[in-house]
Amino acid sequence: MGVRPGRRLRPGLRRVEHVMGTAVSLDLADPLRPSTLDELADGVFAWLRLVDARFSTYRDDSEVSRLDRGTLSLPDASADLRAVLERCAELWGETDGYFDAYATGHLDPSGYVKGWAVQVASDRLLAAGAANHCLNAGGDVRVRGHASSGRPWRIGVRHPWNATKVAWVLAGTDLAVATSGVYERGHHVVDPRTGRPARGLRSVTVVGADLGVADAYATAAVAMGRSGPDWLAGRAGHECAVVADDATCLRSARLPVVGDGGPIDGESASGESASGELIGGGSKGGAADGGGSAGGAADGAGSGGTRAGRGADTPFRGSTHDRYRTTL
Amino acid sequence: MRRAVLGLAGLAAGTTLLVVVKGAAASGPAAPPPVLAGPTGAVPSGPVPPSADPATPSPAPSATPADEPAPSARPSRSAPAGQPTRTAAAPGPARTTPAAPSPAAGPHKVTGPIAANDYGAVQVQITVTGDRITEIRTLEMPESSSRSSQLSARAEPLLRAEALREQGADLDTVSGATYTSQSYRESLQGAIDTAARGERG
Repeated sequence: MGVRPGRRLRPGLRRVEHVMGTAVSLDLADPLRPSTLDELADGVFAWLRLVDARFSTYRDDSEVSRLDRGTLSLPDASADLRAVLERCAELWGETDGYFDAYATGHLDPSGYVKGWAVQVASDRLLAAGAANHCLNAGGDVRVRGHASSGRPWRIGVRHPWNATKVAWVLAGTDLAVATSGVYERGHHVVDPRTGRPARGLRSVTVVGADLGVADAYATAAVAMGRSGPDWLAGRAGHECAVVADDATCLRSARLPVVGDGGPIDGESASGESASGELIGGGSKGGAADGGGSAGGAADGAGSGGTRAGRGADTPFRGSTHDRYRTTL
Repeated sequence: MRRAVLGLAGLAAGTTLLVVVKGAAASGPAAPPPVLAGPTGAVPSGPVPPSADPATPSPAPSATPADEPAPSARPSRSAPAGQPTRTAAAPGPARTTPAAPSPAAGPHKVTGPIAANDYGAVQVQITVTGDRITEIRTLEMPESSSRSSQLSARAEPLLRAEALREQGADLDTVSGATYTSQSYRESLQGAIDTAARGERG
C-alpha cells in the first residue's frame, strides 16, 4: 500500500496542494475515518482557493484588484474583504503604520491575508472535531494539539542562509508561527515611511495565538528594520525570533524553544544584563552594555499599561491614510 | 496632527531632561551632578567641539546603515500621557567626561551620557562657566544610531541575544519566509512532506 518497510502507518492524513502562489501542507493527526479526513482536507483547500480568488493581487478579477481599480465599491464586496480591510486598518494603527496594506501604493493586504486564511481554516478544523492538526501555507504555520506521533508539534524556524537547516526549533500544542524574511523573494517588504525596501533584518518570526496578527507583526517588524525587535518585545502575548542582516540573533526569552538544553525557562531571563547589545553587531562598548537592565526590569509593568492604553487608539490618524477612511 | 503630538512629546521629554540637569546642577559644585560624573585629570581649558569630545561616540558605529535615512522622528508607539519618561536612566555606564572645572576656569562644554527614553536617545551638552551652567543644548542624534541600533531598556530583559545556529532533524513542519511553488521543491518543508508520504497510505 505504498508503505515503506519498517515504517509505522500513522493515523490521519497529509496533503500538499499549491494554492495562493505557494505550497500548502496540511497534516491532520486525528484518527478519524478516511472519508471524514478527506472531507476536512477538501474543505480547507476549497477555502484557501476561495481566499485566493478574492484577495490575490495577481488576479485582475479578484475583489482586491477590482476594489483597488475602483470597479468594485466596498458595500458590494464580500463580508470577508470588508472584515480584512477593517483589521488591516487596526493593524496599521497597532504597528505605527509599519504594517500598511497600501505600502506599495496599491491595495495589497497579503501580509495579513495568508495568515488570516490559515487561522480561519484551523479554527474550522477545530470546530469540526479535528483538534490535532498542522497547517502550513508557504511558511506560515498554525498548529493545534499533537502530531500523530503523540508529541507536541515541532516547528523549525528556517535558517535564513541555509534552506536545509533551521535556526530554532519550537514546540507547542497551540501556536501560530509566522515568518517574514527577505531571503525568498528579495527585499519585497517596503518601509511605508520611505517607500523603499526595508533593510536591517533578514528574518523575523512571530509566535502568537492568531496567525493573521503574527503575520502582520512579522511584516511590520521587517519594515521597521533594526528597531523591529524592540517593538516586538512590547507585543503582549507574542514571542519573536529575529535574525539581522549581520547574522546577529535575538529572540524573546519566552519563545517556546526546544533543542539544546530543552525548553527555555522564561523566568531565567532577568539575570542577563548583556543580552541587549548584540542586535547592533559591533556595538561593543556602546551605551547598551548592561547598565540599563535594572531600569528595564522596572519598566515591564509600565509597558503593560501602555499596551492597554493603545486599545483606545484610533487607527485613522495622519493624512496619508485617509484611504482607509474612504474605503471603510 | 500626529507629528504635532509627537513633537510635543519630544519637547516634554527634553524639558524633563533639562530639569534633571538643572536640578542636579543646583546642588552646587561640591556634589557634581550625575552627568558630570567620572572626573578625569584632563580639563580642557577652552570650548570643546562636540566632534572632538571623546564622550560622544555613536553607541553603535557599525550599526548605522546608510539606508535608514529616518526622514522624520520615529513616532512614539505609546501614549505619551501617563508614561513615565526614563530620562535619568542612562543605558550605559557613566561615560568618561571632562571633570567639572575649577571655579576659576573659563567656559567649557561638557557632554552628558546618552540617555534612552521612549522617544529615542537623548544627549545633552552643557556649557559651564565657572561654577555655573551658562548653556544647555540637546545634541541632535540621528535616528538610526539612537533608536534602531540599540534595544530600549524596556526590551532588554524580554529579549536575549544568541548566536545563529544550524539545527535540523525531527521536525513536523517549518516556518519561513513565503516560498514560491518552485522553491518549495528544494525546501526543508518539501523534504518533510516527501518523507512523510511514505509513512501513510
